[in-house]
Amino acid sequence: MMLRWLRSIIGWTEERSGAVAFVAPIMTHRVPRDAKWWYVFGSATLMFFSIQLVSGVLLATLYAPSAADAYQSLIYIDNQVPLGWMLRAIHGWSSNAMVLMVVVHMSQVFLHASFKYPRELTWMVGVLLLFCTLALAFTGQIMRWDQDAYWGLGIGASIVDRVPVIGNTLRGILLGGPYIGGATLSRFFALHVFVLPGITIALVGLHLALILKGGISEMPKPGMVVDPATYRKGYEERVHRTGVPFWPDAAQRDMVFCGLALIVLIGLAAFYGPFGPNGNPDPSNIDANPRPDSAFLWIFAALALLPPQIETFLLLAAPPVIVLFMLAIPLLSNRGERAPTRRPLAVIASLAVAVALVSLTWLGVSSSWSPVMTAWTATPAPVSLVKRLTPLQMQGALVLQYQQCRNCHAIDGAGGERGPDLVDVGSRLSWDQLVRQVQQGGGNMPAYGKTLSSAETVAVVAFLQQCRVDGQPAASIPGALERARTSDLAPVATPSASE
Amino acid sequence: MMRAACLLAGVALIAACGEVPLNKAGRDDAAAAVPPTWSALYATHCAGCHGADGTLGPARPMRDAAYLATVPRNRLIEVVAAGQGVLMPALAQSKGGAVPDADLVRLVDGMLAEWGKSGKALAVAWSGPLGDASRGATTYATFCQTCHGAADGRTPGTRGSVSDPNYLRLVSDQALRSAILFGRADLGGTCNGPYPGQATNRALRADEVSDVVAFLAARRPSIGRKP
Ligand code: HEC
Ligand code: HEC
Repeated sequence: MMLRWLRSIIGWTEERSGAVAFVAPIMTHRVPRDAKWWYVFGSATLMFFSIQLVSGVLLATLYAPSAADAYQSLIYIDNQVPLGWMLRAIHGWSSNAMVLMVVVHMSQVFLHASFKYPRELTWMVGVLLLFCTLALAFTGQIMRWDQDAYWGLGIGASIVDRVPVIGNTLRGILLGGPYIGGATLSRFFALHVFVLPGITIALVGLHLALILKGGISEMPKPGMVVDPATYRKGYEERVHRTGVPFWPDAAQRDMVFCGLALIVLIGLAAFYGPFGPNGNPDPSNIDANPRPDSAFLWIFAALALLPPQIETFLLLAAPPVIVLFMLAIPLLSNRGERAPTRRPLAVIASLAVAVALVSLTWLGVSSSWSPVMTAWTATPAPVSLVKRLTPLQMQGALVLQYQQCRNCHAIDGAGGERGPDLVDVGSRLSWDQLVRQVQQGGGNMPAYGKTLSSAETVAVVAFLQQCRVDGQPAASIPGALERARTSDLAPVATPSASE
Repeated sequence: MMRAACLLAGVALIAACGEVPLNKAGRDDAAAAVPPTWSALYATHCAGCHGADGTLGPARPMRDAAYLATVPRNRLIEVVAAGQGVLMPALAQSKGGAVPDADLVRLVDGMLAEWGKSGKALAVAWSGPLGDASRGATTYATFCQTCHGAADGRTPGTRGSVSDPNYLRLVSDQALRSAILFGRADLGGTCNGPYPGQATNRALRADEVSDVVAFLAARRPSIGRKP
């Protein structure tokens, strides 16, 4: 009786929607028999994305997306809402897990050359999904609205700022004004909860549709070459002959792996708890130990390592080149051998990228790049330098201590190593360049334009200009009309007059 | 088989969770067993600005017996705890800094005992009210101009301007006063007399000190985010 009733409801819906007729073949479509454990990473990524959607919606019901309240609302979620901390922990860890799974999934696809005919588009959409995932991770980190977020934004803004001609405008668009403020958070909130998830969901749909259309690729075998003219026919034949239905045969493995991943995720979340928030984002007191989230640590280390001369060029040129290259991979080679053993170049390239990413991430984590947290109170400027300072320059040396610049910058070897040693900065950068660097930041350095008063800026730049190895002249651009060096009236303050 | 593995992993995880302290506070407490010496405190919390051995830092020297003998102990503790002016930070935990208040007291007492030994207090007090700015202008011209230049910038001095508006925005009245009273002997600067062989061969009187500070303070532009 009950059953008949149910069947008639299903029949009624099915007759009008065709849902079962649509889903059934998808679930039971045949997949290659040898598509074993290698193929679970894509599903795991999808699972983590689903977790992000659910936990994200829940968080959105508790989070206050305004600059004044965001930080407090996280504290509230952590401490007042039952299991609120767990919700945040899961969202944070699952975000990292999703990035990791995307990368693992892509590596597998790349190594097995599954991007070759007829799956080129699937790969391209996948590349877009990678960048959506990273964008979600980055904007998510901003949602914490803490010191880390402030740094991340400050550095992001200073990179954008370097784009020729329109840099300033772009920065304004990114931040919703010249500085990081309330409008910035609203902007990133809209990106993080509406725009990016919307795009991602659409792309995931497309990705899945393309997978269904092209079929899951077989395990590559040496000697089994892809030829667009004959591939499709051969694949269909083989799958029909030896394949297994996706449900339940292949789906089972996906579910086991996802289940394990889920257990690990919950374990990590329970064990380590939520990420941050690390200190109120007080722009006048950048004294935490801010670091980007793990997915971006390698960028941060790379920025610290880049020689300053080519930094701007690489910062602006590398991202588009990387994206275009990744998109173009299947166009460059969409036929031929798929087996890694027959594609030594691809294997070496992936290894190189992996080694680079892992070692850069390691550098980002390891201590020599992190600030020396006591340098600002413990490490004085070299005595020989102090001895030749005017009172104003002396105050500049103090600004450098007080603002904790020394935690990241050494002078003659003493101090942090995150930024460059300042011992000869006065002969490398002109007055105007120094002002610009201090106010707008750059590389890994946040912008201090809003933090320093004009007097502090003048003083610190007057000091930095004195940071020169014996006998070297102050840097200046020949013939350029520079702003007044300083209003310090003593002759020693104008280096050209004293030396 | 697979099910057993899942179960094992789950159990292991739960067991692991039970082992871990639930907050970080417990770990931090253990570290505070041996209190650091005053010189270690100085090295970590002051040396960066006041000099590695108490002299030749960018901020005024602390290894200055006359200075330490003149400043009242409680005022010294106050300044160190709560900061002063724009660039001397509040260091005490009770004021939002990182150093336990008790450590700061020990640090100040250590300085007084080691560096303040046999110091003789000046006749003029460490702190005092502002005096008369226009009288201060005259005193400045007499006592300071040769080294620090005319306040209007026309005649430069030999040791850098102290009337530059940006400089003045960064130093407090007290810092000016201390500079006049105690100078920077470590940098070869005695801003106070006596200057043998000159008309100004005497130390400044208390009212003259207050006047010069008032004169310089009046030249400080009132813009700026902090006092
Ligand atoms: C970030 C740099 C910095 C650090 C660290 C620092 N100071 Fe200072 N200190 C200053 C500056 C700058 C002034 C002068 C401020 C003003 O009044 O304008 C000053 C002023 C003082 C004064 C008052 C001087 C006077 O008579 O005007 C004392 C005393 C002092 N510091 C002691 C200490 C001690 C002790 C420590 C370590 C616990 C310390 N400071 C750490 C920068 C620093
Ligand atoms: C004999 C030369 C000389 C005379 C006279 C002199 N000073 Fe100085 N003063 C110095 C030197 C040297 C320094 C250290 C400056 C430096 O290298 O930055 C100094 C530093 C200062 C400082 C800055 C302390 C700091 O680091 O912030 C002030 C303020 C100052 N003097 C005020 C005065 C005043 C006011 C007078 C007059 C009452 C005066 N000085 C007279 C030599 C002199």
